[in-house]
Amino acid sequence: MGRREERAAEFHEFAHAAGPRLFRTALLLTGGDWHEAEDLVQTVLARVFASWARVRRVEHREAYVRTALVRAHLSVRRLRRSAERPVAVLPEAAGRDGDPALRVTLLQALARLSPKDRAVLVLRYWEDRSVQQTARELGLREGTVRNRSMVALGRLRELLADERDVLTAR
Amino acid sequence: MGPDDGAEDAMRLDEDGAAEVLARAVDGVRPPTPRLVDGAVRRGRRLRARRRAGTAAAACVAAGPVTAVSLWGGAPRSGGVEPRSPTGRTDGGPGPVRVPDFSAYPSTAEAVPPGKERISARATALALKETLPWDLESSQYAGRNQAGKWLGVVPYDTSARLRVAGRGTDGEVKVDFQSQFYAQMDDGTDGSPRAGLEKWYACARFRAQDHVRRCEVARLADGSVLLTYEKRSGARASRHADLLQADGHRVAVGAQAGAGGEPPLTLGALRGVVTSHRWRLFVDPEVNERAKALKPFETLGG
Repeated sequence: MGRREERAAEFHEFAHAAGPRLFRTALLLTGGDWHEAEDLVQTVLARVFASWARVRRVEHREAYVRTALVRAHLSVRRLRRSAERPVAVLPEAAGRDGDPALRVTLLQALARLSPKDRAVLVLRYWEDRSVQQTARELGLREGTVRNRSMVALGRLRELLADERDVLTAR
Repeated sequence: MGPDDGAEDAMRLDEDGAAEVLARAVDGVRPPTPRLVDGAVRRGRRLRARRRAGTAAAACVAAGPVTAVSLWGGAPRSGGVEPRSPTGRTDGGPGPVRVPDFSAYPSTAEAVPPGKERISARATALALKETLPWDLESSQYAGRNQAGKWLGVVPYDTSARLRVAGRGTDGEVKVDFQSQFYAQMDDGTDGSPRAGLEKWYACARFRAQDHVRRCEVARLADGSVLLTYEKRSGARASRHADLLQADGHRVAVGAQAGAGGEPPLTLGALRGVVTSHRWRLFVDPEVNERAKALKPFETLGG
């Protein structure tokens, strides 16, 4: 196997291992938009593939790529000019397990937050980053991150207040 | 959430509980990883080729959203498949009903039929206003339109709310109109959404602490399934009618009382609202046009 094939195999191994978590992060960032999440993951993995010679040497590759995902998401939100939607292939019908009602309720509530608030919540509580790291990665002040976290959680509480039947029926 | 809310036990939405909430929001999601990786490799190769050709700037833009292509195009949404005949029928009661089989229905956005438009948020609010009992006054119209916005795995369409007064009471009435509801209820139990739908359209899904009363579920003559119930907790009271139309669309209407009062609509009135022929995803352009006169109307943020 030549060096090129070796690196391609390395990338495949990395992408298959990191993909599920990456996709779930993307789904949270997009407020449950399955197709936008797919596009986001593909976009970031494509960039990683194109720069694999460099990315493969990064110490915490998965965390690095998830940060890239958050930044790409916010960047795409700025660039997006239309409601174009990548639906080249359908999502698999068997792609959902767990509790669909609960998931829909929670994603529906997340979708009502602003993209940046979702990004703050995802980095702070899903990615378990510190306030300082979150601030650095989103280009915000630490106070802004703390404030946005509190406000976004408060908003989620409000949005989910009427969904007690779904939240408690588990 | 108040201290009497059982939801606090189930899901704390403070800093400590936020991680759990996010985890549960994507719990069970099985991404199409092989397809995503294959697509990424193809896009990555193109990106690398462009970089090598010295067109990196163009590559950054191309990495954004790609053009939408619907596999369903202009084809009939159901491909001629009709819901399976009901195996049982009930005139209403707390017992289970059989829901239509939507497993052969598409799980992607429906194409807009020629000469039609997606119903707007404002037209949704107008439909709600015009299907209310005649002696109720409505005001403070608001709605949000998510046409084309995918939530989870299905489109989430429009919702609207308004204030109502009359019959010595006042309160708020809201409607959520959601296409292809069946697609998100596939819980993987038997490869079809039927099991998930039958759990949703069942009084058994409520627990004692949900304070649900007068729950009934019925299979209507046209094949649609209707769930109605009332919730009472302390001074809060609300009534709900949740209809799964035979084409898989869902209309959920709720009436919430003002403080200490009765909800402004009875369950019977809600049943009338939710089963109106007005709830159609695609409408004539005049319907959306006529709704533009509905004022004051607040567009809710997404």
